[in-house]
Amino acid sequence: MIRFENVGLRYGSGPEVLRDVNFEMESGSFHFLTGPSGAGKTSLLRLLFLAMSPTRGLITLFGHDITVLKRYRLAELRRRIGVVFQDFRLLDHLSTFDNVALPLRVNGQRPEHYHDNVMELLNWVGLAERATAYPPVLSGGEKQRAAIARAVVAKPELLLADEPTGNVDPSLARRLLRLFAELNRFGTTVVIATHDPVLMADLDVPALKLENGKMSRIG
Amino acid sequence: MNGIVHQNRAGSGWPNTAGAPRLQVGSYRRSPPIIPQKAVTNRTLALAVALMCFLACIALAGVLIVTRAVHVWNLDIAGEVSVQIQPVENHDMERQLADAVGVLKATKGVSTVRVFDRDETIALLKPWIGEGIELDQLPIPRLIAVGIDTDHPPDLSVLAKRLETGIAGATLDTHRQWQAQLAHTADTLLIIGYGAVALIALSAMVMITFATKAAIEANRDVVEVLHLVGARDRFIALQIQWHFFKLGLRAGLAGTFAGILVTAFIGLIGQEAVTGGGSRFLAFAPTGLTMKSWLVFLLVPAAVTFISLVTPRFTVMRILDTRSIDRS
Repeated sequence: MIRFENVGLRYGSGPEVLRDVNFEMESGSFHFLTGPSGAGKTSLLRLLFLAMSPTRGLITLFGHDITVLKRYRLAELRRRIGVVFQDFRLLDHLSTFDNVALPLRVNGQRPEHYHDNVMELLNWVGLAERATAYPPVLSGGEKQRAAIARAVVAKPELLLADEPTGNVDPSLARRLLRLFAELNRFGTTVVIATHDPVLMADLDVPALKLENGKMSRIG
Repeated sequence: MNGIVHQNRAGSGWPNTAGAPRLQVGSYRRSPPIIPQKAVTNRTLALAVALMCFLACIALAGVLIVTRAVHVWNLDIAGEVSVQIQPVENHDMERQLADAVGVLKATKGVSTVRVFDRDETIALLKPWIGEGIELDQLPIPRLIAVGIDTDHPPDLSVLAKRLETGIAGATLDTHRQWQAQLAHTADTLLIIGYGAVALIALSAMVMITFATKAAIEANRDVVEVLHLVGARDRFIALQIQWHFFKLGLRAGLAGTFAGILVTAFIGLIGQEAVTGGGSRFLAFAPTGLTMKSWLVFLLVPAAVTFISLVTPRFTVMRILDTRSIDRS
């Protein structure tokens, strides 16, 4: 499903933040992506959710070489990817419900079709009572849960999460991890970027470690 | 982990947990705009678009009034020609007039023939020559007003030839030169009027293009999130153009309504100030406009709504395509 071959990335004329990254992920796999702050985890995720193109190398996603992908095909691929951003990227003018439902709306679904589904998901992540609240009045943990709900609501084939449990208490972190694991059990490929060893200890899955832009495999 | 997922009540397939609170699922409601109206358009832009429509209406009113006036004048001119009999030595003027009347009455398509008598002719000449000159002793040309059946007009060139060859000093004045000059002037005025309408439309397009660019910049984060959740460019364009469409429709109707009111108001003033049959059409006289002409004003809000719908779409698509906002 995902294949990186000698991928390098630099911002402008700065140093390479990713150097000769090589790895392959099978469909339905679960991986942690770890490494110290500034190691390039977020940059790698940005490449995976098609927000950037690599400076060099080859990235294959769902069988497509993303470096030569036509612009109009991007939306089609992105709909197969769910992303939890480290900074949440919720839209402040939309309620929690509408933020979570955004991928479904973009996909052309009507509110009467997705309403119950979204409410069930909000219920599960503990945000049902906050469905009509707007992001500026949500706590950090609530925003994070809303961001996770938005990422998984369309049942993506690939789920990318950047520090998804960074702002929640340990019990909710475990519940969210279970959600990711369950989605994975139903076939979603999951990549979670984290530097939380406790979280990684909860699941016996392989981890990719990034350090100084170079990647190594753990487990 | 095994067994914690099962199909829940709503059939959504989300994992169910014992600890999670259950929610009474309410009824759905209409979704709010993904890009808020205030972040795209504002009152200043609405006012500017309304003003453009107002100006377009005034320009269009000018075009319609000139068109109508020319039409009425042409009808007047086409409905009447005149025969001028010049005094010719050794010819009896009254005899010449009687011969001309005979020729005219025998011509098919001539509806009326009226000979201006000598006193009437002198009265017509006096404003041009002035007081103090005794015209009674001078040989003066005489006029015959000839009414034309506009449905079945005679061949004026044949009539002119018969008059000129048969009656000494007779010439037929069909006002064609005057008609041609009038048509030329009217055409120029129409070009100016339509040009003004076109420039106003172009200005509206430029204005909306700038507003769309500003809206994209102001909503850059929203656009980026939309792209990342899988929105196509045309979906994003639709979110933005919808706001401009509403603005164009409302501002267009308001501006046009104001334009029609002002046109009608000036028309009322114009009618009082100008007298005379056909000439009043040259003033702002909306009573001279037909119902069809008034309906033409509705093209203004229709056009501005169309511009407000199409311009943002092209602009958004072009910006997203060329700037590649989210893959910088």
